[in-house]
Amino acid sequence: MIEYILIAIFLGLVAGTLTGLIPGIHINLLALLLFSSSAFFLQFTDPSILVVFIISMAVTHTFLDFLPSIFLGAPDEDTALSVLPGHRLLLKGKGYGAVKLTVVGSFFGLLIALALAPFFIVTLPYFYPFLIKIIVFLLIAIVIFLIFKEEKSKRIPALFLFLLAGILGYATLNFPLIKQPLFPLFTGLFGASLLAISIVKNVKLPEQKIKPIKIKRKNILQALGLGIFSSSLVSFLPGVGSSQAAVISSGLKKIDEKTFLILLGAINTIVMILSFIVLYSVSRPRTGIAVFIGRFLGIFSEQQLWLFLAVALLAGSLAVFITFIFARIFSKNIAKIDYKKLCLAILVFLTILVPILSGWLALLVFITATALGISTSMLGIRKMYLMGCLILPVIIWYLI
Amino acid sequence: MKTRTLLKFSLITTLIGIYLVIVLANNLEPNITKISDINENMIDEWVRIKGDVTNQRNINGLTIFTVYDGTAGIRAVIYKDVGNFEGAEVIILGKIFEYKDEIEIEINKIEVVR
Repeated sequence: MIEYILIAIFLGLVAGTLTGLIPGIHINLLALLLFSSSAFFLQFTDPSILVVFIISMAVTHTFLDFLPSIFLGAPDEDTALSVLPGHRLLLKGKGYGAVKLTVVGSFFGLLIALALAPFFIVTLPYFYPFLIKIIVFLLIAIVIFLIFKEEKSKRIPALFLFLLAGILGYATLNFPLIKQPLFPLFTGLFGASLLAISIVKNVKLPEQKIKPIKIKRKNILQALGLGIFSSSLVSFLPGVGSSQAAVISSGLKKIDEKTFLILLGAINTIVMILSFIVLYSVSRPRTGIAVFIGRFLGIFSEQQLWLFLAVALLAGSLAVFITFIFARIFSKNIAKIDYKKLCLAILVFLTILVPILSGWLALLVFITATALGISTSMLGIRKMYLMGCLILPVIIWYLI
Repeated sequence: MKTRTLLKFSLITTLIGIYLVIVLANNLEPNITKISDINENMIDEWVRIKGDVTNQRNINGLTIFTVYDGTAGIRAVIYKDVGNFEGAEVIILGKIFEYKDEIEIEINKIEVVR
């Protein structure tokens, strides 16, 4: 048994590394592919080994995920908000340090989530009815609060962009002929728009330094505290996830961009771990990966849950090193490549991927989202407001 | 390209794009799927089905009924009180989801054929 588990963890590490490195690929998409090929895998092994593989892959993915987002400007919905702070650091030659910050967040987030697992198993079910009542008002309050904290001249444009993103998001999510609607939406808003601007402005990357960015212990603790708090708010509820947790955190406390990267790393991993716990304690799947674990195993025992959490710990610890290795490779080579051509190549890759994954009509969403992302940058408004594309539909969904 | 020109161009593209997405999202619908072709790989996908309504129940603002199209039946759910469709032939646009190991459809739009 144990050798099968170790092999499954190893294969999960390899698969999670590949999927994490491919620009724009979200873990849910992977879960979907896996499910359609599950009959094939189940010929060789039993469901719980397959679940070990999935968990190892999912956790590894949450670590590697930030590399395409920070170095290539091609995020998915969980890493979207890391693009801009990551890109700014990349332009200062600190791409490696930026990735390292997200790894610090992901790894310590993993440890905290595991340490608090028994606490969550016992308490979270009691909070569920309360959370479902307040989440929508919390989101509305935080958006209003964020807008009011902006300089006066930026308030109206920020609100306007939030609403535009919200309308676009709502229409896209309710567009019956578009599959995987979040893919064209997020790659456009946060990825392609940045790539297009880099191409137009002929951005050149400096030589990258392979050294960590200094950060105070206080900031790390702050990021982790906010991360665990906001992740536990969203993990129990349908329709909300990492991106809403990030917005909630930034409404609660003003933090600098380095702390923000740690926070995003932490949220990305904590939400994944909590979704396993939520699946166990209330049988409700809240991430794509949890949906598939639920379908493979049905109800699972506490013993199995602990096995899965141990797998997450092992995979996460190894993923730290894998991420550093790839961050090093990216840092050493990215300045040698013509950055404009690289951006163009990724933009073409994404434009080809959109119709393949989401259908031809998704190109319209992709172009519109890209234009909205460019407008936001040109107006000097924070990209955070583009999260309206998910927040407004959630508000409408909970209120109606 | 100047920042202002780029801004104008991107804002106009955004507004036209959003308008088109809304219009197309409201007018384009998938072809009708046979109920027997619906499976768990289609969860979260939009489908359109046509069939006869039976077993309608309204519980606490929730409407549930079964739709048969001659190939198979599927339970359809909508989270509000809608009118009585019992016995009618309807076309339903909705999303496939799984509830307690059963494949169901969440109704987004329903129209009576006869």
